Amino acid sequence: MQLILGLDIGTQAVKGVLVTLDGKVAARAGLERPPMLPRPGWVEMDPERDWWGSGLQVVRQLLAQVGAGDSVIAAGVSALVPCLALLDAQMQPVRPAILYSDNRAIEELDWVNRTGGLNLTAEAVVPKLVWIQRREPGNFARGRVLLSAHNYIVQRLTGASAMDYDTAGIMGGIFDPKSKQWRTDLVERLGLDPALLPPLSPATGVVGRVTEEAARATGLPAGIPVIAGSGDTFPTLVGCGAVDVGDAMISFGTTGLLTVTLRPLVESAAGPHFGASEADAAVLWGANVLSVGRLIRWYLDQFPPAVPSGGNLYELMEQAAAAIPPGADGTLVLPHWLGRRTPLPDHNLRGSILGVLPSTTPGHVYRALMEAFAYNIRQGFDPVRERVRRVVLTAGGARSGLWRQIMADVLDHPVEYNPGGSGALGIAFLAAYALGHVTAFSDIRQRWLAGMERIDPRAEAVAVYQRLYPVYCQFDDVVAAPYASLAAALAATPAGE
Amino acid sequence: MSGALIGLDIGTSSIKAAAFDEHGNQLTGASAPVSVISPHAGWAEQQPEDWWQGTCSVLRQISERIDPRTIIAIGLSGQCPGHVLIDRHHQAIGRAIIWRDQRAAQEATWLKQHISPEQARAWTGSAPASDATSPPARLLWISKHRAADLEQSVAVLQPKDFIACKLTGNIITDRHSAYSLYDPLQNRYHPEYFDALAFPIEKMPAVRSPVETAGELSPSASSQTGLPQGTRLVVGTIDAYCDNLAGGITSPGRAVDVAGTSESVSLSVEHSVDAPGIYPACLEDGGCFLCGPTQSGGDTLRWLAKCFYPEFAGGVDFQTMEQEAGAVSAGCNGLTFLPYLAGERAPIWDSAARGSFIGLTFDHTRPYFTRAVYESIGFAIRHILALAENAAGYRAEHLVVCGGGSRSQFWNQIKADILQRPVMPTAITETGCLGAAMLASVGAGIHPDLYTASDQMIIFRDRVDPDIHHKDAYDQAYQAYRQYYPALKPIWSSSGTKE
Repeated sequence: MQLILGLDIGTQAVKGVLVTLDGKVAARAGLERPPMLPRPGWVEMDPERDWWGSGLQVVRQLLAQVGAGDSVIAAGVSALVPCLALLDAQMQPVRPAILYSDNRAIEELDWVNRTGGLNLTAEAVVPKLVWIQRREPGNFARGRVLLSAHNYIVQRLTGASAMDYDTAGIMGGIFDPKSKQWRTDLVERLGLDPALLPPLSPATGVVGRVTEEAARATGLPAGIPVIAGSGDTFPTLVGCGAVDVGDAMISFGTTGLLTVTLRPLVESAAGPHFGASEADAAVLWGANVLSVGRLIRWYLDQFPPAVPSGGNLYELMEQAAAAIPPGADGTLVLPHWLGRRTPLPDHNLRGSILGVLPSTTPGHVYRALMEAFAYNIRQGFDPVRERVRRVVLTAGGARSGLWRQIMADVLDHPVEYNPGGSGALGIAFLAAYALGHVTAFSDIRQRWLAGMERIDPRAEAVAVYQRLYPVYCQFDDVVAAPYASLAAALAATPAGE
Repeated sequence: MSGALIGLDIGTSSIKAAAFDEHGNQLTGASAPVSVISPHAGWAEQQPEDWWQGTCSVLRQISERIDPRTIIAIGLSGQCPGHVLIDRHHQAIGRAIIWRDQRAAQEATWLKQHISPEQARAWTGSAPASDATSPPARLLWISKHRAADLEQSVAVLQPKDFIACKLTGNIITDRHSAYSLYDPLQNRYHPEYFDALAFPIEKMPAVRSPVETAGELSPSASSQTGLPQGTRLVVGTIDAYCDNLAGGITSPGRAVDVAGTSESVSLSVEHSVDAPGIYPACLEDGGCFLCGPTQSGGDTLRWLAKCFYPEFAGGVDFQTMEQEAGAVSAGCNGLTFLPYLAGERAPIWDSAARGSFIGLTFDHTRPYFTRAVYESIGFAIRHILALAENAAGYRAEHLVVCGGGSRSQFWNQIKADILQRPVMPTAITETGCLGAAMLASVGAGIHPDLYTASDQMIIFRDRVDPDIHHKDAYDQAYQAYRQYYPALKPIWSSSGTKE
């Protein structure tokens, strides 16, 4: 049987699938690999160990699950974006990669925005490259090419460096989507060498074939085509079936996301996926919530309940939270552990657990964490509600039935879910499409993801959340000023004081 | 040994008695638990007979442990305000309504609408107390809902005064326990006031000074307690006042933190002054103090333990919590806790306020949460003390800490560092009993006045000096602490986040 490999490098885990050409998952594997947090605000990963090393293990696990008669005929890779991996002449990283959620380069961000006439946010790579240039000149001098995580895997598989248009587009204002070229003039104006930038490719473009060396390392057949792939958003959208106009996707990943598909995704399969301007955007970005799955994990790490032997930690907490009424008896979380992003960016904000009473239990806090994500998503959902035809949930947190119901209740909108949906499935589908093995994007919904669960909002809970959502927004608003003072005060204090 | 002074404290969770010598050394002590009954939400009642049985039990234990003939006097300390109706045989009629009871909410509203603040001042000498737990609201409720019991009764007494009546047969109270009903400036109950409350003024007990003698132990009380007939009982006063006496609030310039289930911070002043959110209190010959009672303290730590330390199933292990909290940095790396779990009394008096952890990042681990709670109590003390000192016009050199929380060296150090001044823990943690014993010592003429009594009877443990290295971190954290509440307050009061 012919199989497509889909590999997705996430922030917390690497996941892979082998799929048949009609969408049946033949093998599924995953590996936890959280990022390093060497200092407050710093978020890093080691490209060789965390990306390639983990990817290798997942591919070997996948291949071990299929028969000798099965053969992998193509591969696609997606990953968290944008990351900054700077490679030397031997294609080795000069330092650990800096992730999108890293907040170290705030000063450089201001400088880049002023110098380049840009309006970048803290995710952007260019200010982080400037940061390396200024603070680690030795590392910077050894750098020859800049790649994001999936480009790095593709480089290791094929020996070819390439970057897809979409990843190029979020590096930080240095890609022109109309001409599909790097803006070398701007790059030079920022004091950077355009030679650091890799060749560009459509996401569906075949950038190379698996080398003999990579074949030996992974067990994949040498010579099979590998597409450029893309950041995880487009494959996630495809992989959960949000491919048609009016399909909203809410991703319950390490970070959270709300998108609304504005044009059929098939039209932009090659990229740029998301259009050059708002006028021709394929997807509307409603909300980006930085601390979602990671917040749940952090909470359980800090405050693990006593789990009876054989018990499951998540199930136990979910039961405790489900026993608490909607609104968590007034416990209210502002989920900005890493600051707040779209639709109301403010990097000074921090997390808050408000409304604690003598009767407050861990179940209250856990429920409030879940509700906070839904409130934050609603801030992006309300302005686009009229354009939404259906809402599809995806990623790890959506496995929680309670969380799915909370989302439906807070949004006052039905939501749909298929546990088989994933970014790895999406990038496998994209690879199959790129190579002509599937022709219609409707296949992902009708065949690959048949049988969606539908969750309707419950009137009683909706009524509670209609009252509490404005309260959440008020709290979200008033903490800005004191948090700005706190940020200023902490910045003036040497670390460790 | 010259003799023993006994402090008897009628508390909410227990009746306690302790014997001290005239230098404040504790000779022996005993306690007996009592329970609270809550027949409806917001109601809190106790059986007066339980208080009496508890009193007999603890006094009998004292009488068996020291020579009863050496007992000079007993002083009383008590929860307040509570209300017991007694019949002509001095038996309680029904259960007592205690301080925590919120049933008289409608009556409190009525008071606000019908008795102006000026009128209340003219009748009681102080600002109107018109919340649901205030004595006038209670009397209104009793006259309306327990008319038959009231008819049958000879008096309405505070819990400790009920015990005084059982011990001596005399129906009296002290002028502090009679607050909001009695005019201490004119030394009388105003008949017009009681007409307005529709409450028979003749049921009110005679008012004495806390250091006056309430009476002598009756033969029947003697046989039930094991103490000699004729033993002097001194009137005593509200437990919060006794706690402060035990911290030496009668000394000029003294700041006292009573660290109990909730903390109370007081500052000695020469004469009564107005301070926002803090109330003035005056003791007979002991001068005045500004008192700021909070809702946060040991109970806040117990909540933290219950919520975040599931391993403490067998009871709260404060040592573990302190070890964890001690391992992270002062100021908690920007994490602030507002300790308003049950709303807050002084200095913000806001029942809508809520507990809040603010400033969280992924670097914050459980020890930071714990430390933030410890620090929050220190910030609350600093807040109250700043307001009191601003009103008083001077700064206390150190903070005396007493009560159960003062046993924690860790917590004392945090308080010293946050206040940047020495903390002086006292040796005796049963502060109600010690304060009552001080009143007894003055009543019996052992010490000439309360100042001398506290000077002679307070034993300090090693003082805790502030660490200057933590000053900046705490100053900064305190500024953050002070900013968050005003930002959040309007939302709490307008929306009420509670469903």
